Amino acid sequence: MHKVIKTNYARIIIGVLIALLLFLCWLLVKEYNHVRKIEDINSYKDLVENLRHKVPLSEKDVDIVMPWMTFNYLNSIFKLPAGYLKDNLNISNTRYPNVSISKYVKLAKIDQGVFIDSVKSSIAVYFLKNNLIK
Amino acid sequence: MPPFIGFILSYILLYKYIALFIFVFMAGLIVPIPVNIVLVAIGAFSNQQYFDFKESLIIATLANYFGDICAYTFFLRFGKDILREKYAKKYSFFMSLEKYFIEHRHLSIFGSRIIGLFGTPVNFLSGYMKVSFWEFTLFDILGNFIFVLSFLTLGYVVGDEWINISGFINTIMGIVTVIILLCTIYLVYRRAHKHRVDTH
Repeated sequence: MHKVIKTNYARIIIGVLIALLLFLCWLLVKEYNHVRKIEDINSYKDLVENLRHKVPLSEKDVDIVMPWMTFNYLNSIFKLPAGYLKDNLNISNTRYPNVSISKYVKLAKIDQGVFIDSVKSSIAVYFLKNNLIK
Repeated sequence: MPPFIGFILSYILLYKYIALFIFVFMAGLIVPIPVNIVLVAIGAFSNQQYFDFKESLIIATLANYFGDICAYTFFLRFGKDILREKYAKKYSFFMSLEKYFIEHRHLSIFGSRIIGLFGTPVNFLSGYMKVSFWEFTLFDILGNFIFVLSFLTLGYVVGDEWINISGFINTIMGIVTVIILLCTIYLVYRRAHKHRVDTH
């Protein structure tokens, strides 16, 4: 009797794992279809250029701005002057630039979505101005 | 992207290598942190020259090793007293698992560094079964190095698109984990069954 129960347990566990495996395979197909649509990954030329750092970020890339990013990181990847975002967005937090966007909006009690949009447009404006000067 | 990944990444951007060490160490110890995604992100940050690839590789490998060695030492000291006499001896499945692990300990230690979910159980088994410290260190560092190198390189190659591929990576890791789990259960169960038949 004890052995039968053990065998049943093993069968149940294996059955659950097989069901999980099938679900993950379905998820993989879905994720693969999503990844296939990303041009930068599927174009060999873009990948190689990416590896050689030949594609600096520009105003087209402002959509990568996320709440977890710090201002220091944004300044670094977009090559912005250290005080540009602070002046442009009227940031008075003393921790700037070593504070994440999510932490800043929480402390300043402002809407995260609206603030991220203004960060994106500030970065885009910086690139547009610089391109006009060049 | 899950919110806790954002939480981890904001600390990594703020405190860089110290935060990287702490999070990877905690993951090596026992805390379920999706280190593979964190490493892909850091690979992408290296591409943007916000992190140094080589430094990240060394720090993450060592942090993972220290986390593993802490868990190994704990189970080496307390594992047998706590579990073997009270629980494991009563079940033929666990006795077979012990035997199976000892026969394949090198592959188990090395492989479990790459498939994160098995890391903690293998650290436990290594300590519990008193695998030699140097043997554990060798295969642990080797596995951790390959694991960290693979995910950092992946992040470095895909660059800013790392967020879009994180779900794909997680799904592949999930499939590999389930397949290994199925194979292990099948092999150990078959061995336990054979042992029962032989003793009867």
